[in-house]
Amino acid sequence: MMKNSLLINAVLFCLCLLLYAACVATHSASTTGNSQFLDKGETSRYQLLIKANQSEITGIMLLKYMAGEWRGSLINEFGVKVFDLTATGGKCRLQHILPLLDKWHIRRTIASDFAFLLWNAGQGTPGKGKSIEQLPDGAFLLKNEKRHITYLFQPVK
Amino acid sequence: MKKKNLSWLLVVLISGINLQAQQLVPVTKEEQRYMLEKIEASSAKMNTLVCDFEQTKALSLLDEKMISKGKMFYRQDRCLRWEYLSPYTYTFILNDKKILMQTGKSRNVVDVKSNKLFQEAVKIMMGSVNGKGLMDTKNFRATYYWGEKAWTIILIPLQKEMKQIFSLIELTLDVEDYTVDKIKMEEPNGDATLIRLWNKQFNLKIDDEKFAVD
Repeated sequence: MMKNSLLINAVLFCLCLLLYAACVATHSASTTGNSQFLDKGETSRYQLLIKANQSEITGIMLLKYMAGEWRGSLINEFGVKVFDLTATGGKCRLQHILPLLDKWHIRRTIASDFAFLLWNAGQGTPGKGKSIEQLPDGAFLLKNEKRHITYLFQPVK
Repeated sequence: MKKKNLSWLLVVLISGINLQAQQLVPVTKEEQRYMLEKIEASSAKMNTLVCDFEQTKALSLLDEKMISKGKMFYRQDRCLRWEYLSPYTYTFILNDKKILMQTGKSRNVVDVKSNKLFQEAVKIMMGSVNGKGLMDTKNFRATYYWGEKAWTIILIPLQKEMKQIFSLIELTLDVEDYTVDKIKMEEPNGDATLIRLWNKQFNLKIDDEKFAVD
């Protein structure tokens, strides 16, 4: 009985170690922040068209990897800030969001879609109903099937 | 020696600050009335305006500047074409009650009345170009400053919706033709947009096609 419980404890300990190691491995893979769609070395500039149901938002998206994190700003064509974002450790956070869009579900959806683009897509990790399609001339299309949202990124030259 | 250098630096810095302060002299009520009369008279004479513009957006989070350039066409009967040509293309046309926004594959025509924010944005855009935004005391508190070569007018938004987007709008007017040369828009998050208008041509004939929205 005593032997059994020691064995169970040992197995559990090993399992915990394995799980911890797996978590650390996943975490370190994510924190490299390699997105196959973006160049980490310089600021990426895109003309962005977000389509959600019958609404559309257009603007200029700037993305830059600096100080160990992804940073981005979406501004409308007139220069008005739509939102800022920072992404680190596989997670994305929106800041300074335009009051018109400042609803928790919008914040959460956009943050999750950008986290997928900036972190998970580069690792080949499948997103839940999310995909990225490479288009000609460096453009790409990020799709969130569940929420019926598409993000069309076209490089600004 | 070090102390001496530092004190010199301090003197230079302080005199620099004074110089800055001298450049912006707040005006008296009488002078403000004079400025408004000049701007109104100039606006009344201006049927059309065609010019180039350069927009510089400073983004503090990225420590970056985004510069875009384009052409602007204005006609006094509430017609405005604001067209970005580089590094991206985007066209905004206001034709009285309708707005067209066109970029790449996206083309949208909206009714100005459909959205309060659109109404305000149009008011700012038209008001900035023809100077009439300065008379909008319901939406902005305006402070006027004299300068030898330029006048500066600082508009502080009073309405909640506008305050959330801009903390202030600064207009710089050329004292030769009393039209706007620069528009600086500061946001509550510390970022700013500067729009510079130049190569201004007044009262040219502009084809209706430039303001077509349908």
